Amino acid sequence: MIKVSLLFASIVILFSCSVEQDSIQDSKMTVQHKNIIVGEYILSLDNSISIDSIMKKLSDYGPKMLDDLKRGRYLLRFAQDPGLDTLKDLNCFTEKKCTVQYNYRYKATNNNSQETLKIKH
Amino acid sequence: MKYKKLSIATLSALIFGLISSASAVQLKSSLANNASTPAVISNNATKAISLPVQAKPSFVEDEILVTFKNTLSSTNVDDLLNSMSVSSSEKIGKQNVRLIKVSNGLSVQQAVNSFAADSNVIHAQPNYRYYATAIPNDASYSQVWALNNTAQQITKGKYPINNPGVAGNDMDAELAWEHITDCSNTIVAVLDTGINYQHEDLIANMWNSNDPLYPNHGFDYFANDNDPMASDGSIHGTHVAGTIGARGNNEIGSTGVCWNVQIMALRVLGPQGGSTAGIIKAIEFASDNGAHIINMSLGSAAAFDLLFSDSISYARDRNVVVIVAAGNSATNTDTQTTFYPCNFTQDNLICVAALDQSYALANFSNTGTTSVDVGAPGTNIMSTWPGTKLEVTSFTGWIRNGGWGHNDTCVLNPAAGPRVMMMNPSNWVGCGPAVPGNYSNNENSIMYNNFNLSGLLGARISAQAFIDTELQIDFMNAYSKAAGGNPTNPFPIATISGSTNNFSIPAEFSLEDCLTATCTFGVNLTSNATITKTGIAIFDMVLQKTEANSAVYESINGTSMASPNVAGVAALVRAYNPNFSYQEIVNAILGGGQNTPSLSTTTVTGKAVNAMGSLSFINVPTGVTVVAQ
Repeated sequence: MIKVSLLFASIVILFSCSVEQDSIQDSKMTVQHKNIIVGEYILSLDNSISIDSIMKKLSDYGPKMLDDLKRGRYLLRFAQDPGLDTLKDLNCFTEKKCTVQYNYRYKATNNNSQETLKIKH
Repeated sequence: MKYKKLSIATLSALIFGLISSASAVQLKSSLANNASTPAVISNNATKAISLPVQAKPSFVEDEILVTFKNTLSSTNVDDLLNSMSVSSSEKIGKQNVRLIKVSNGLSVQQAVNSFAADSNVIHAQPNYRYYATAIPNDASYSQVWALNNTAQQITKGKYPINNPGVAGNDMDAELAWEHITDCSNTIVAVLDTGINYQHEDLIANMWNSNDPLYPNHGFDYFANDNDPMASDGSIHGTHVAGTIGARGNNEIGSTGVCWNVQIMALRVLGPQGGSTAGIIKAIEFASDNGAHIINMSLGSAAAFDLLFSDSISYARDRNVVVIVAAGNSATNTDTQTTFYPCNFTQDNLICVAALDQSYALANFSNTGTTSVDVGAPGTNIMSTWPGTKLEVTSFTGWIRNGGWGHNDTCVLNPAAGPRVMMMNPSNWVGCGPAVPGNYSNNENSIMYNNFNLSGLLGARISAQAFIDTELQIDFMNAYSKAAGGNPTNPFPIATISGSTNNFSIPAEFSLEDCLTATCTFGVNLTSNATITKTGIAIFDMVLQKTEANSAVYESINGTSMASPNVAGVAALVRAYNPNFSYQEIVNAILGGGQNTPSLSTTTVTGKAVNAMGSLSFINVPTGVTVVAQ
């Protein structure tokens, strides 16, 4: 179990793939970052809100719409991460016309932890 | 699928016990006999019990075989049978054995008991039925212990515990196959790392869309194109697909739980995983395009993911069963760390733990008596593999500069044996040099090699890595270049920084943009002018290829491998009962499982999934009303 714990602690400060490199390097990494795509959020809007208006309000953070996920859901990436709390300060949240969440990271569940080795000193 | 499901399963087991032969009359009789007051049952009960799923009868329902004492002549036996009003009998063989037609409303068991009590009778028994066994002729079938565990050694098995295991600890697939092997009326969506759909044992079982937008058996929601090929060389999705539906009885390779099935390939994971956005799109695609079962051998210890959860509900509303892996952290997902999608609570979702060849819980498997529903085989699982793998057995000949070096006999750990290692600095501490060192300041050096990847469908470099660099200041960067030469460029495949704290971690580098004869792959180290650390060491490097017509099969471990075993059983159940709702399929899987001690305090049901048990499981009657009179 010690090995496993250390392994996880290590991964937190390590891997990033090229597509998210900029945002990771711009961010201070914390434990939660291993489970999210840093700088990416999914906004769900009701019909009365346009994604363009949201992006305009957040223009200081350099938003880019990566994908229209249909049914009022949009995947956004920010050049400068505003953080979840900032996004939840949008008026549409208080009016319950939109929601936001992280774009969480998922991985395959094949087991290779037994291959982990320790340096012999 | 948590406590609510258990209560349904328990209730169904109780009712199943009451109605052992599944006759409405017997049910009514049992209830009446056990009630203190007479009871009536509505017609709905009869209707609900008349389900099509039945095991083949084990004996002829109106015949018994009776062996009479040798002291009796044939005439004596005839006289005796006449006195018992036996309507017809036939002499069988040379012994004093008679095949007797049961009449007078007696059951076979009653007739057997009656004759067995007669002093002239040596033995009485049912006239048992025998069936052709459903054993596939696939070349490597004997290595798929999940389907038929004979206590065989899994020769490519990497999980050392209980290999071999205990004969009989399997999913009873051969019994189920006596009833159905063909799931071609059922679509199973595999949300994974992509599938080598050109594998020799998968190509015939891939889903084909009528929509010209999807010409390649699915969609790639990671790269956002219509080709879900395992182009980054990942082995995972191809292996999962083969467990569900490697073509059976075609004389080659492995055997899937379903011999024929439609596998829909939906790529949602890349070399570093995938995300909510891709997964929810894939779930909705599967649900909207006819999938009956979804397998997701993936997960995260992330917080509750509302949109992912909503997509499971979306699938449920379209009658889709979702099978997911419990995860491999050996933690309790109820009380320690949640693991989604396993921890979602929709009743169309089944979360699966991994069992070894003795039906002990695999030492890596997550557990949870409210979150993990069942167990299934998940160690040393042999299945389809996307192509050959080439181990890097020496770094001699690699081009290197700066502080890079290599050691083909580096002893990290005496028990693990020597390792072939590339490293920076060349006197890296882990190989025990007389004078270990740190990497240099202002380093910007690379070590790389050429790989001929021409004609491949995909490729990746997998390795283990020790890393110790100044966090966010000094970096290890991996590069590839299709045109050959020094691969350093502005767009690394991966950038890594920090420390693994003396432990190695797996590293995966996709070469999907480098499928040429001149591809070069290399690793570079950059550092600034201050603070150096012990550096980088990379070992156990493997080039994994994705090849057309791959004929490769390998064994790996994980709850990822347990989940598709259950998805296959779900497909069998659904194929046998095409009108089943998702609830009926889920009930059959949970209720038809085999009680397993290692799961009794670690899962919701305490059961290992059993194909025959699920196929013959009788669902809980609905609409039953019992009225006291």
